Amino acid sequence: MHDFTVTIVVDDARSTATISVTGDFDAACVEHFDARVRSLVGAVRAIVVDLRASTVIDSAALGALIRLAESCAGAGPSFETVVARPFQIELLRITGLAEFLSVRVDGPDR
Amino acid sequence: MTELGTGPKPTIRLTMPAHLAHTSLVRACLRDSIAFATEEAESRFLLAATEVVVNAIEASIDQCIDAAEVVTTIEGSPPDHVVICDSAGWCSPPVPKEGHLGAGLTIAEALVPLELETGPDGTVVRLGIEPEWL
Repeated sequence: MHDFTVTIVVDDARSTATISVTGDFDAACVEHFDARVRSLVGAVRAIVVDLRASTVIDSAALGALIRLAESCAGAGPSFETVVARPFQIELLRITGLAEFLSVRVDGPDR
Repeated sequence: MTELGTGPKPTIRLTMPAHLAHTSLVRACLRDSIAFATEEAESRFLLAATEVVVNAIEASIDQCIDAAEVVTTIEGSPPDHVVICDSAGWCSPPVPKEGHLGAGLTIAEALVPLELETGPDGTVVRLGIEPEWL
């Protein structure tokens, strides 16, 4: 399945929001992603973006992640990005964004 | 009589309006037409193709070209290249970096073999498909 979906789960204590992205995350999806995650920054203490089930992550999608990470900087919630697949790790290496996006490499979400 | 293997290479061509919403059509066409050996090879190639297609669409939009189209052609049997053409002139990347292309194309060229031809009538990008990816 390659359809883009964003699922947000906030834990019971409203401290961590996990944003799970599946399918092809590209320029056509960025507006939808931005709209879904915008309100989270002031509402939780931590944001985790789980990209393990993403099949494509293009530069526009990386731009959306950068905006979200920037909005979390300072007094905002902590921010972490989770990836698993080699192409995802390679993409973050090519772009030099691994540190800025606080990337954690985890096992696949299958 | 045509000898096997000497005829013209089969191609598949997709022509679409230059609109971001149609980017997924290109990926669907590539997924249907190219049997990648692994999901990893497929994702790497589709990411590169997405960057090139989005670049072509955005260049057409930026230059206000009426009825702009992006043409994606799959060459070879088994496929050995995907060629993406647009009718927009070449735009310098927003933040030029010596020896590198724009941000999206920088990603694409790091993932797959990439050749770029630019001119006043448009841009042609050829993405190579390595045999071991199939």
